[in-house]
Amino acid sequence: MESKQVKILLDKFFEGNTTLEEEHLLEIYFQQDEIAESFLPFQSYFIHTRSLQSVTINKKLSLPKNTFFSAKKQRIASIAAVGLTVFWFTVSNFTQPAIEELAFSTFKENMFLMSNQLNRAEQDITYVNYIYSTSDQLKK
Amino acid sequence: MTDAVFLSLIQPIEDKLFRLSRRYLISNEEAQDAVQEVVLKMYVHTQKVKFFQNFEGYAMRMARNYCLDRLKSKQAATLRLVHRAETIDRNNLDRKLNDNDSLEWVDKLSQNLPQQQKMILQLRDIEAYDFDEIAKIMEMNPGAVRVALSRARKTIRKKLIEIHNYGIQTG
Repeated sequence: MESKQVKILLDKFFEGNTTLEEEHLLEIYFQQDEIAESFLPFQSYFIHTRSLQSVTINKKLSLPKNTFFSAKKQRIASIAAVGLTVFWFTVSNFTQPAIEELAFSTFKENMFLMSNQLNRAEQDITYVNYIYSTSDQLKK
Repeated sequence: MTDAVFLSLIQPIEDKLFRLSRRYLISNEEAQDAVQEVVLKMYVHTQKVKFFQNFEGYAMRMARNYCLDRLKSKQAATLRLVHRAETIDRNNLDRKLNDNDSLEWVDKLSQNLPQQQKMILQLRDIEAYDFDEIAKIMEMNPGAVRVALSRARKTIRKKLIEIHNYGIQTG
């Protein structure tokens, strides 16, 4: 690349008007051993940027361990858990009577017993009345 | 997104993420931790989002925001100490080395730029991003990116000429 062309590109470069391709050309130019005296102050900048481009992380990065139980699987598992819970509640409601139902059936049994007792008592009263009336007739 | 696809996207940009984080956080260890954190965040995010328009740009922006958060956090005090130690070491090194060691000077000059200019210079001159990509990463408009880049380069040009002339006069 000619010095004149380098000068134009450098001016554009410092104005922030160069394209990536033009900047790459400058970078290549400044990697040379022999460059024009007037451009020497800027050589270190291009060499420095080139050296920084080769800096690497030098550390193996790790992904989360739960790859088997990934987020998608976790979502499916949580939906299944909710479904199972709802199912269990529904089934248990069908098989086990509610407290209100238990109280009602106990109450019904008690009422049945009470009505039996009342019937028996009514019969006893009828007998007593019959005895009274028979004894009154005998007295007469 | 499967693990294999995720790795094929993240591995080519690990070094870019590292260099960007290193520019912000100075310390290599801090930068490595930052990249690890960003990779994990991106991994979790990719489980929710099926398609990325610009995976690399998104990761770079995430790294930038993470580093800024780290600098603002309580641990920033520690980072500032690392930063200061680094500067002191460099000063000592500079005294020991030849004053005309231009690469050291360039490094020092770019470190002393305002943070925004420093990052734009990094993204353009080292990572070779175009202005639109830089604008997205830095959350600025492309025109402002161009202006900041020009200011940063001109500052460095001025200083390099001064250093060069000083070297010639004293040498």
